[in-house]
Amino acid sequence: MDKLGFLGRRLLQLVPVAVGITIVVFLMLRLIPGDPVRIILGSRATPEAIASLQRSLGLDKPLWEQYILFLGNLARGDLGMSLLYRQPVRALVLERLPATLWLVAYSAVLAVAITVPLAIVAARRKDRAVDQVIRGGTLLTLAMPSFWVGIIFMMFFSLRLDIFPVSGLGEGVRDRLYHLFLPSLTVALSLSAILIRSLRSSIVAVTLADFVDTARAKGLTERRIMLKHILRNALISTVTILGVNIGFLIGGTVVIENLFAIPGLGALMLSSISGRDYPMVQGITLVFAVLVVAVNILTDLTYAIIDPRVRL
Amino acid sequence: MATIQAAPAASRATIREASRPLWRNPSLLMGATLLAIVAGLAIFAPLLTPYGPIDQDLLNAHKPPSWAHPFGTDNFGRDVLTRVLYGARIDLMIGLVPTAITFVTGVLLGAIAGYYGGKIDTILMRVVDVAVAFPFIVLLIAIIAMLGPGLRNMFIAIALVGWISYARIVRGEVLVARNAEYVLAAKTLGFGDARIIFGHVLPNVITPAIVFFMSDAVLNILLGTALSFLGLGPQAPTAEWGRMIQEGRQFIVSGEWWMTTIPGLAILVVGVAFSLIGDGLADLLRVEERV
Amino acid sequence: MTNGSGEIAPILQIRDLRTSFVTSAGIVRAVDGVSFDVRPGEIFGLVGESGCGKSATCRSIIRLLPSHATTEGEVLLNGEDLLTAGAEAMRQVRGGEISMIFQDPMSALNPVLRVGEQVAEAVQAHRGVGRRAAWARALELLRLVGIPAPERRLREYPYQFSGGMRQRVLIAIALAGEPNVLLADEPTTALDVTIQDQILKLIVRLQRELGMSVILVSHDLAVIAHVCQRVAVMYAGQIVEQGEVRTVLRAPRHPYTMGLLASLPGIGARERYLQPIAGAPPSLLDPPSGCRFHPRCTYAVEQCRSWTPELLPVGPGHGAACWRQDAIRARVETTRIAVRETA
Repeated sequence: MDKLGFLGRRLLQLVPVAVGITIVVFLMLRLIPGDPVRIILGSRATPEAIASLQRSLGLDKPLWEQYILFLGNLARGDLGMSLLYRQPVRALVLERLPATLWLVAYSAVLAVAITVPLAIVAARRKDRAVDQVIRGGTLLTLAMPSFWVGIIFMMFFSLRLDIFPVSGLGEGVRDRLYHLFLPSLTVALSLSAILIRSLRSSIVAVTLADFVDTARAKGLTERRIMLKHILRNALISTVTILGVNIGFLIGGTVVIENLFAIPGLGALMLSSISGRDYPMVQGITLVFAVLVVAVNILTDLTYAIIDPRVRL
Repeated sequence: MATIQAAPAASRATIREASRPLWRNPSLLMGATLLAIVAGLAIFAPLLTPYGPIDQDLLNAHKPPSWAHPFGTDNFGRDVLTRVLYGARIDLMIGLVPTAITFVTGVLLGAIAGYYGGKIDTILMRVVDVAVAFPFIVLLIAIIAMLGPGLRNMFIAIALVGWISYARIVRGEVLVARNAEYVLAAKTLGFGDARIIFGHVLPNVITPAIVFFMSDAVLNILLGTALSFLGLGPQAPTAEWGRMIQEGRQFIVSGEWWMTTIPGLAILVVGVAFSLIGDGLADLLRVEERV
Repeated sequence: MTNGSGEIAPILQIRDLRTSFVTSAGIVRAVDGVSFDVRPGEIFGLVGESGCGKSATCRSIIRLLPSHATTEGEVLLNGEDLLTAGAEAMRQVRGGEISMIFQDPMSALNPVLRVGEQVAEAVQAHRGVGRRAAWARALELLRLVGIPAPERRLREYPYQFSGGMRQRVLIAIALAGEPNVLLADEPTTALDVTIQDQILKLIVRLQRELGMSVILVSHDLAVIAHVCQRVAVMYAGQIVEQGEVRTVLRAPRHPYTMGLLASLPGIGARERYLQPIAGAPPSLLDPPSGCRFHPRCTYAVEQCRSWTPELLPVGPGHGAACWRQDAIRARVETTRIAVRETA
């Protein structure tokens, strides 16, 4: 019951953010220096063509009216027409969304899989050689551009060792996991560098807690104390850090999709830019924001599940 | 006895730590040295290499590293080392210019919001909430999509969004500090708001923002080179590391690793230098790093 | 009444226990040559001001110390030295042979696990039973320690429990492995006064019903006087006086014990007025020379400054580490006369 209330309040808090997101996406078009219609159509466009495009973009009305129209369209799930593909933006976005979701989810899973064991080892061997090496590794990883890491992976695992494909999405779950492994690992690496630092220090802090003494005095094994008592508490603050970095995770996919030629939203966004397909850019930006907000709610839920005290 | 002396002893210790000689702070020293070397190479690039950054030599294209070209040549026969050296000029700017701009605007906005509170604060925090709902890079890409690609527009895009972290950090600190005794004292003395903010509040709360500056510089150089890699930064034939990696990428299939590996290492070196300086500063100023 | 049980083999023998912590400021000798026996089925009190090494002594017994601590000496459980036992042997001892409950029940339970889980896992750690059986046993244990509505409480989280109830849960956890010895480290200090008494009574009741030995650590002589058979008084990492509770309280042979008694409202009333011990406990980084109590002691003479007194017999089953036995005996005699005259 409490958890439901928690979720409800959380959703309510999102209303102003949602309004803000639509305003930002709506106003984006105004950033274009000069007349967007002329830029889209070029200098030789006929006045009729200009007027028609202005009408279809809704630019012939006052600003507030345009925004109301924009909101009305959004409410109906209408993101406008792609200028490049001459199709509804919504259809094109929905077609590309699964690839991006795969990449995001896979990266998150890999990031956790990398983070947890390394953070445990570093925390247990605090200030010893292993800890220093892991610490240095996170420092290096955080300073590496992900697209470059991806290229190095390609050169080594795909071209030299030939064990992973260079690009593409793959068909079916197994094949997809295989195809997306390198791109996801690339996105996961920089995220886990952040998470390892955070989880390591919270494990170190939790290890000093009184209840760890109780657990040890019970005669539990060290393994159980770490996995069941320490880790579970330490993860609470790390989930918060993960929440803060969701934008980082999702944003990371944009670059990596372009590198590994994965037909996701990021790749679509880039191709739309060169085609001056502004409605498409707007639509994709909006979807990315929705994605961040959705994953944020997911982390909040995770948080509420891990920590029984959450009743905010 | 020890408890009575605790307070003054602690503050003395902090001062001693803060004025600790530079060589006792290996992170800061190493980072600063690394950055100075990169800056030196960037400045003296024309003296260090016989080639120009955009001089094509199609007869010597696709050459692996050799004595004449220690890092090889690219598909236009341009010397990779030369391009990396000249690229440092732009990439150091990518790391520092937008960071400096957002530092100033963010600190100011955060201080104003935190100090005055009320409506200004509410509006600012709403803007922050909305801005962090977008993935940072997506927002940058969207802005550049509207403004058009290029180094200047990249800086504008980062300047439009990047102030948020600073504003958040400083606002939080100011919220705490504005009820501190020294602020109340300044108010009783009848000082103007501007004088209180700049003269009294900011000097006391700015440390975390300074420490964040360096991690932000790392973030910006990674973002900037990524945007450039996506073709949204400086256009050809400019020598810039992200762009070089983009251009060299298609040749990894034929085993020409140097065109991509070398500029990436350059980014890594600058990133590590910034990180080390950041760690050193955090240590020096005794502030916990905030994410 | 337990005088005759002197011949029964002690269950726990502490021999010259020394525990020190390596800190940046130097080596802290928290426990410095402590020896005592615990007999089967007795409640043994360990009393002293905070920081005198009581907790460190308890923690040394089940080796629950941070990694920067080193322990020397012997801790013999039924004759087996625990300080040289292997990790797995030690795990079985903890909670199985010797359990421990801690000072602050608010932080000694894991906030994110159900209370039942935390009791049940203690059961499972020492008995090869399944999850279901362990939970059933946990229910019995909660009932045993007097938690109302145990079926419902098992499924709740620690934050839903009051301090006293949490301490009961911790006692239930400690009993899960049916230990022979219970180390109770200031189990009532963090609780409200009314709750303190309930928890003490619970510990005494359980000790009788289950026939355990208990080491009760407290800074409060009144608590010790109330429930213990024998007591050791600790000062600056050492035992300064030890014996039957009645003897030690009635005829203390160490000025520090006398000071503790004098600062106690109930028992110290005999001394007419409350008298805190002057000064503060010494730093264990650099303890005073000779008798560690001498800087605060009204009886101190030159000898006390240079020579460390040993714990020597001063009566049947009664030992004290003080050079000034003659002066103390004389003083106790005059007090007794004074008390008799006023009465």
